[in-house]
Amino acid sequence: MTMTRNFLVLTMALVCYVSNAAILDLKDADTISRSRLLATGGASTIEGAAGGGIVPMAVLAGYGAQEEQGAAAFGSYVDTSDYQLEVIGGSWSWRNRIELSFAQQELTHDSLTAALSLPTDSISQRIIAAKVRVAGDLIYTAMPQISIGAQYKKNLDFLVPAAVGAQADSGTDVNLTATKLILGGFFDRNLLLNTNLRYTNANQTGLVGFGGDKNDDKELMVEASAGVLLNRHWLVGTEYRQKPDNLSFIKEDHWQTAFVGWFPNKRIAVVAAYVDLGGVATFKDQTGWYLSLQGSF
Amino acid sequence: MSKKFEKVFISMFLCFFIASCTNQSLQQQSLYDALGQYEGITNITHQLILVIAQDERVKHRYKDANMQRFKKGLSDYICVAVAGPCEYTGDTMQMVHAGHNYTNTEFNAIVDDLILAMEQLGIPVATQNRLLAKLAPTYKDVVYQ
Repeated sequence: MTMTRNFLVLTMALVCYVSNAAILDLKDADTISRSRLLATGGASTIEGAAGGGIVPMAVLAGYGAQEEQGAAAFGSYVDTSDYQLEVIGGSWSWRNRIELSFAQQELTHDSLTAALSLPTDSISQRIIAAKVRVAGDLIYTAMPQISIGAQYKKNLDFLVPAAVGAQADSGTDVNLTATKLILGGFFDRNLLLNTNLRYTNANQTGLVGFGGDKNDDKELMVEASAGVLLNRHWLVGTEYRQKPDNLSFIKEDHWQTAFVGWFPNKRIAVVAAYVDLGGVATFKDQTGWYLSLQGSF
Repeated sequence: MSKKFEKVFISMFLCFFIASCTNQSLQQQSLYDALGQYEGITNITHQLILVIAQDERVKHRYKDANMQRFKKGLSDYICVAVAGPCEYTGDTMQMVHAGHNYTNTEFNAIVDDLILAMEQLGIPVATQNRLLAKLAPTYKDVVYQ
């Protein structure tokens, strides 16, 4: 349960940072020396990279423009009826060109443990990732911003994943992402469109290992998100993430979310979402709530 | 995933795309009028200058500038960009910015300042976005020239 303690400590630190930022310099924060526009650093996905909640975007973490750098730290929590996921992580970006990110995930599966009399009740995973902006600008070029990224994932509790047929305890996802903010594109509100192609063989993002008895090869998965900025502080939208189905023992479903993001200033982002993960490892209809808190530096 | 949610999801997506395609053809007030015509535009450039004067990232760029001339030039430029009944007699954006090597950071800073200025003047979000959409393409003529 050290993860839970770390999660609580980091979340409390973030809450302190966020409340300080909110109280002390809400006005000041609009003109701090991170120059990209509000909300254009996105939130932190559960895998650490900048994006929404489950789908990464081509934008890089933080608000650093091409002569600056930026960073973000985040804590996220997902609760469906039978599973809970805690994530902490951080990211750093340099000159709006390169993003390095880190995430530590812990999935708690008490229902599964009870049903199958498993010896453990959680699975942890560590993700280290890099993303490079290769072309375009989110706002100022006609072409979308395009990024290429790789996420190296290491499953730290491979016992249960191996028992259900996963072939490897680590894997690397490769992402090709295009994101565009169309100014005034949706009834004069700014419209965010995003697509990610992911080359992966990860089961449930890697929490259930990589590859399986049914399929061991990496496949191309389509992910997409779209949102509208009601004003520069509020983003509402939805995400879809296609998933592989590598294990004959447990079918894997596609994921989707409907989210609200709040960006009061360039230091804080809060995202709340309704998530639908479909069936997850024998438990049907895993719908529930997602909450993420991000501090940008 | 549940079928119900799938439907909601797909219809939201379709809604976004269709709306973004048909958006331009909707009848609405001209941007020039929405901004409050030439007087409204001049108010924005005036407010923008006040915001820029407080912005450490870019204020040194205006140290030796003739601000009256800048204000008139920018107001005329915006007026023409939003199809107002004005004449812009200054140099092209490319000419104005050539040789200064304005950075991506500085461009972002000015956009930041413009949004702040419009917010301070209480200009509606929709009108702000419509103006930003007209001005954003100048990026390629301004940055790293």
